[in-house]
Amino acid sequence: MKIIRVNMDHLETRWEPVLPAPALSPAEGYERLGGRALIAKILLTEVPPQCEPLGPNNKLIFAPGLLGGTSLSSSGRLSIGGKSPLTGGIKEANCGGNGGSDLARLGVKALVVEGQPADGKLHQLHISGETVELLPAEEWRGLGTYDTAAKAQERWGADCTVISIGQAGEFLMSAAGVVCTGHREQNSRIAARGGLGAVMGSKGLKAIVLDSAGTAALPLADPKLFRTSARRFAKELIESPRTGRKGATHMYGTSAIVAAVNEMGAFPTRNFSTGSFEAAENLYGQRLREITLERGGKVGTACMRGCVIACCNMFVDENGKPIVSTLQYETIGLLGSNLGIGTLDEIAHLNRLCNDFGLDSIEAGAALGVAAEAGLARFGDKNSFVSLLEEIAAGSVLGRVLGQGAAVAGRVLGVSRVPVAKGQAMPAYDPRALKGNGVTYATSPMGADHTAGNAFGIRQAVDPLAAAGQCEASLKLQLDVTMLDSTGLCLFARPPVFGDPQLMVDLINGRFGWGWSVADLEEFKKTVLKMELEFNEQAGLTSADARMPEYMTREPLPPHNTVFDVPDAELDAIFSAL
Amino acid sequence: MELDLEGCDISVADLLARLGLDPSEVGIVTVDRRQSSFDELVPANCRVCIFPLLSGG
Repeated sequence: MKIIRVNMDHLETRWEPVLPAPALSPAEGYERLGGRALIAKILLTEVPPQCEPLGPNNKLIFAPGLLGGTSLSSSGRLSIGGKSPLTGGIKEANCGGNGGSDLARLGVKALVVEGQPADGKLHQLHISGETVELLPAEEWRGLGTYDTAAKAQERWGADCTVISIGQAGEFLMSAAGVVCTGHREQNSRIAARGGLGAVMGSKGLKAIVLDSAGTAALPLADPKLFRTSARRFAKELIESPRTGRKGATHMYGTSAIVAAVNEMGAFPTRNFSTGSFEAAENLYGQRLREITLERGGKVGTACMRGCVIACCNMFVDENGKPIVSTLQYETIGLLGSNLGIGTLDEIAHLNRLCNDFGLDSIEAGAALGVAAEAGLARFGDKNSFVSLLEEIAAGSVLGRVLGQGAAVAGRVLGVSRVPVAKGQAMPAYDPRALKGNGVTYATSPMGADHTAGNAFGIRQAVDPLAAAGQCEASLKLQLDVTMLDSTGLCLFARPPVFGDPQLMVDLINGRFGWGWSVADLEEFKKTVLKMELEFNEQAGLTSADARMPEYMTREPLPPHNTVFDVPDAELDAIFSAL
Repeated sequence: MELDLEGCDISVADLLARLGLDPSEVGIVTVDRRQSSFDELVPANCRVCIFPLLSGG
């Protein structure tokens, strides 16, 4: 595996070998790192932590996970990283689709985009076999991601994977994500959080096209160990009551949790003003499945080749025309209940717009909720939100304010109820009713990111409404997730490897022959978090940034009327044992 | 559904058994909107919601 360096100053590309790292020392060199871990190491090594996120010294990194490109189910997530213009700290966002697998199959350990084009024009990067071409893409300026992918596939082949930004990224908006095409109809997967789409726009890069046709299978250090472990992994997923064919994840995707989160009083409603939505039943996973199947859409489809969980859907309109692939929980929350919208059709329409414009639906949804509180839109009125999204895509003054995310929108519009941590909008679990997530939002180096350590559903371990025990729970989750994010594994595929860490060790040893033990894996997890925390410290983030917004510590959230009350001292001490 | 517990103290685990549910396939149980452990007693006139194993996104 090698690194591709893309220098946008000189519009040059080159392949670079990966220096071998000393054994059992993932902190040195890049060899034994992948995905999120590799991004952390590259940023810490090569990027001045105090650089301007949209300036020439930041780098945008695309890295498959350590297990990407293999036959292992659900291992093809693509990690994208850089310094975030939203949080001012380190950011890794990952997406499904075929990008991670394709990059790995092309022999790319990381694609590192550096510098900025002097002429301010847009470019496309095409990678096929050993060939890496950086070409003009100015004719694609102003296109949404759907049209960009269509144009790219028209030029380079329908089977190519396209990674692109929409208008939001071109306008350098901090709510901009990076969109990646996926398996079959799953044509819009997004590495949404943290404004990495703006970083890609600042590099003058509109699209990356990956053609992995004809690439050989990746070598395995111990084929028997790997294949035995991969078969066991897939078998456990298929037989699991959670991820198997009759499991909620496969049948409903993440929309399965709408009912539970709403019942628990953590479902963000009308700009996080309450935790229970009166129209939630219209948004339940069962309803989404019924409507989709009635109309001839798809449920239980995979976003990446070979995934046995297949949690995605293709939501269609009354005439069976595809609206969006895939409609999932976070969007149902932030573009649904958070905006007072209680019909899946309307949410799907807003979702499609966000995908096309290249917007993080969480950040955009939170910004729209703030805008509604300021009177610029009406809760429950989809069209008023469509108008605001169109302002964002047009780059109007108002659109540019909203496109910078909920925190900026709140400041400009004079709204104090702004659900952000480290400047990043909160996902669809109100931390006053799910306090473990509040700890993750506040303390994770990633900012308010539920995937960095989601305490929802940790069975019976901790009372979500109590302050006690949340930091311990969050820390364990945060550590475990670093492993998933660094190996390319999807969050939903965690049960087999969380249940038996030796299985993860066997997969890694089977692939690479490193002779790791479970203790090495535990050390690896800590190393990733420590690197990220170090970068953030050098970037100037302090304990003051590891807090919930003040209003959430004093404004009770119905129906439980709780506030976020995990003590600051506990938040400050969460990583002391690393 | 309404269930008459006939005035008996019953735990969440007992309730699951009475309903014929396999605890290993149950993810979250809420009692009056609060997530409950399986050994907690179910009070009278309460609302219980039982959810399968779920993964949040």
